[in-house]
Amino acid sequence: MTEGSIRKLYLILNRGDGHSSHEFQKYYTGLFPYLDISADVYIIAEDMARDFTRVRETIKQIALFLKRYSFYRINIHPVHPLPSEDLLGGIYNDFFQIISPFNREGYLHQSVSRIMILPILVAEEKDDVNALNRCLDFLRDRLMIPSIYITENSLPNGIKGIMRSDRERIYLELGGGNKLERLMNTLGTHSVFDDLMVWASAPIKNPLQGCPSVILREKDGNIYTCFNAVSSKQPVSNLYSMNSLPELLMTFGTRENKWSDCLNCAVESVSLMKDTLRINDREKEAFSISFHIGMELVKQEDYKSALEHFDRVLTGHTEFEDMGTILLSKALCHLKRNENEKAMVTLEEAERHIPSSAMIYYYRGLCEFGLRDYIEAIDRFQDALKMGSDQLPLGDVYFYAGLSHINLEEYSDGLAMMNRAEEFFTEKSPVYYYMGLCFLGMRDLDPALDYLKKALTSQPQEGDLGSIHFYLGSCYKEMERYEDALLDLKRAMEAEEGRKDIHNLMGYCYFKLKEYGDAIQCFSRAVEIDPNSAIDYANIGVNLREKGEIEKAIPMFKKALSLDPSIGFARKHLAEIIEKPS
Amino acid sequence: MNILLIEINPFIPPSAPISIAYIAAFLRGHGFHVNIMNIGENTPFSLHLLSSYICDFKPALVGFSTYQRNILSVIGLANYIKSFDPKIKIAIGGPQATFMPSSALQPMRSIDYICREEGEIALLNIAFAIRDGIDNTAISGSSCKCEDGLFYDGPSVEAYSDLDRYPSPYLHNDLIDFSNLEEAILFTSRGCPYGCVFCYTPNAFKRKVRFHSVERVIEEIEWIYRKGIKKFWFADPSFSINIDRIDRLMEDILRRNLKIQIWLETRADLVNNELMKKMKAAGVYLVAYGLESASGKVLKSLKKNISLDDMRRAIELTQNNGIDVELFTQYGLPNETFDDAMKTLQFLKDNDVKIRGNSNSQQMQVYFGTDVFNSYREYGVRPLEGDIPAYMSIGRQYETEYLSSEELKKIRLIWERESLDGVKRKVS
Repeated sequence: MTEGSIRKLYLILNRGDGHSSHEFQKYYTGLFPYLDISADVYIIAEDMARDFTRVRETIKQIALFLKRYSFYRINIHPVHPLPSEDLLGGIYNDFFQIISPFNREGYLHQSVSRIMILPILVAEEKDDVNALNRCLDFLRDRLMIPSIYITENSLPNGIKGIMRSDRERIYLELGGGNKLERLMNTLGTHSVFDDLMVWASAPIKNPLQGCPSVILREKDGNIYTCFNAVSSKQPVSNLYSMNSLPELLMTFGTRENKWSDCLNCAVESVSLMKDTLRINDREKEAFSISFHIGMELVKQEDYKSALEHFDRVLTGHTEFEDMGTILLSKALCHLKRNENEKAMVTLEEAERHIPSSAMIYYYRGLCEFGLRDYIEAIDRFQDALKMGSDQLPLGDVYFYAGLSHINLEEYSDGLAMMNRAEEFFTEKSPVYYYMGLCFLGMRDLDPALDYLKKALTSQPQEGDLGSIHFYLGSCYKEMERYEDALLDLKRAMEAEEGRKDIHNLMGYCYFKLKEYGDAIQCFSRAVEIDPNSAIDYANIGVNLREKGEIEKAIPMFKKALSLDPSIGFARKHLAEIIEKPS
Repeated sequence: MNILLIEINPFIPPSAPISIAYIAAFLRGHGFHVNIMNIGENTPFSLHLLSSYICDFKPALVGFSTYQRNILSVIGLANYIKSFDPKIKIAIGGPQATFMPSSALQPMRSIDYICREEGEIALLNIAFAIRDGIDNTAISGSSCKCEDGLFYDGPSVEAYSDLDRYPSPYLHNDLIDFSNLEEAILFTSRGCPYGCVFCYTPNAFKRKVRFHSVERVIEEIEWIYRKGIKKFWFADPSFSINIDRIDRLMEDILRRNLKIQIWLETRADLVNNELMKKMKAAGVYLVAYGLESASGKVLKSLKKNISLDDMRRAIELTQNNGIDVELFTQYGLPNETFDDAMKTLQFLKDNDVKIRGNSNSQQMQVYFGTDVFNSYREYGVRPLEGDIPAYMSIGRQYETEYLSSEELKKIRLIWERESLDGVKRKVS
């Protein structure tokens, strides 16, 4: 149920507990004004011979409602065991009389009837297909749309192809439990799947809204708003203990649907419907749904689950009409999971379906970037830009092309790309940051400082603060403004205390300021973080020597040289100490 | 005074309710408080929601966009609203209403007014009359049922010749909810100067065409584009009736670098290669032409004044420029035989036009206001039902001199079999 409109109402007629059917009727007819103007009502009867009068009365009540409100259209689905041909004839001739005025009205208004009867006949025994066909034809002749519900033991030979239109269905029984529970599970799965089809064909995909259904059980008065709740026996309320209809409706209004719950249920229904779809020649619908669920999961950044859905389509339906799109999305999932090689293979396949696609070249660029082949990456980004496409995220293409250049230390080209990227980004901090790095790389320190400061004032992500302050510190260091450098490096340290390079650079600045004690503390922290950092041991040695603590300096130089014999200044210091010990 | 305008079409997904949005913007400009209710397939809507809405909004006037297809829903809603508060006045407008006989007010007991002419002006006059308490009399631009039980047709109204005088349904008006829409509908012009006998437009607009300025259209496109909508449907009956104007519009779209996708409809004799190239560059992905029939004899009796050679040339031109083509076709047309109908199907195949979307054919609908309706016997149309309500036109409930009901059904089934998309037309 959504926003006061019930799309599907399930009435389970299994009287008990001494409550009269009149009381049940009073409650469900009270719900009619809350039905959607295009609603489906399922009337579930376990024994049609016994329940015929009440099913008939329910149809009559719906007809009366429709007569009063001609903007309503209701599909009625009587669900009951398949009776004998004679009994079926008697029952449905009677129903036909009730709906006849609506058929006439539909004819005069050149429209389908506002009341349609779509019986679901439960075949409990292995019926003869010819007999089944006679029943179906009898109903079709009365403008009804029949479906057959088949249990595991009642599947007759030759059933496939018995249905004449998309709206006629074969329901294969699903789920466990007793007879009624299995029936409700089956109807529920179909309901969720049908809602998914509507969702998948909508041009704009809002999150799934949950079941637009209300299920009422006459026997105990239990009310459910979700098929899962029926299975888990968790009613939202009870008809017979309610004081008033508004109270009942409030319980519907307060119900919350979680997107993740509904998505799980949806995913499950696609899997459960597999055999049913095959027998109904509707397998393509499942592929279409899997495709759209996959796309939705990509939006939710659940790439692993998205891949499962895309693979289901790709293995089951080799002629899927959106093959190019699905392969492209699959490649994106691999990319996001850093599975660059798999992404590459997928993109090659995608190119067979959508040749000369700028998006494919863009993604290839990202793969090469992920594989650190920056020269190839730049070529692919350039290819994508040359081809052009409405879907191509130009800002991202320029950005990654710029990053590739920066990784190759081609700062001037990197800067040119970042300049182009800037036009497209609303959150500009990352672009300013890399522009700052380009200037720093080119030793053009004033603009480097300016851009890094702009990165800081352009609402950067919290995770980027450490790097921005670090490179600000680096700029000041290059400018020999060590005190300024230390201010930013301390901010960098606050953001990312565990980064060795920050402590190293701070140590350097303290050394330059001749604050050897602080310098030693910083380099010591650096070797704590990385005990194999030879350069930091050497730096500790240098500072100890400056402080005159020669004996302590010697083991530091030795440690540095044992880790990395190529550190020339450590060797030089050590040699000088040995030559001139004092 | 509050006015509620309702667009209801539960058979198709909701689209931008452009016509009533024009009226709403115009009425708001005259000081009325106007809301729009747009109900399409799968729009959650119930009796309870309607009554809550009416109770909260308290409209003095409710207007409906009316088509043959939604008339039953309109009458039902009107009956309910009237039962809720008999003082609420109800008006209908739109294609089904313009030429509907006034006697239809008898079976439509809850409808007070039928708008006959330009919707903005006709409904404004009704709103003024209700506001000023002088509504129990004939009102310009509409027909009404007065307290004496008689029907009165009001005098004619003058529509604005410059469409820019009508406030935009988009600019500065939060009238259309785009949250569930992927496409915007625009009219750059109204009316058609041609005289196709099956079409209501020539008579409704007196064979005149009026235009919006290119500047206004561009302003609307940019405004909608900024809302994130990239698909545009130009609903003008003959989009390129003034080629220079369309050339300027396409130029402006290109100059502003608007990356949009455009669907449009025009006549095959109103396109040239230069315009096509520009259209393609500006984002036109599909052009729909009205072929109607591929039988020269049938085309002649439709007074469409277009040749099959014109059509072939236009299709080739369009396809060569990388733009997809849709062809509107009909069967059950005057003077059409079964073989003529098959020629139409063959024409699409011969010209590589895919049978999907609007290229799925449909039986001619004999609507109020068309020449065929006005002189149906002369056109060989034989209605099947003599007892239809006065608010219903013949529609598709007819046979013709040359085609029986069985043959019409057979033609429909043949087209359905050939359809690539299970017959999903957008325009009916």
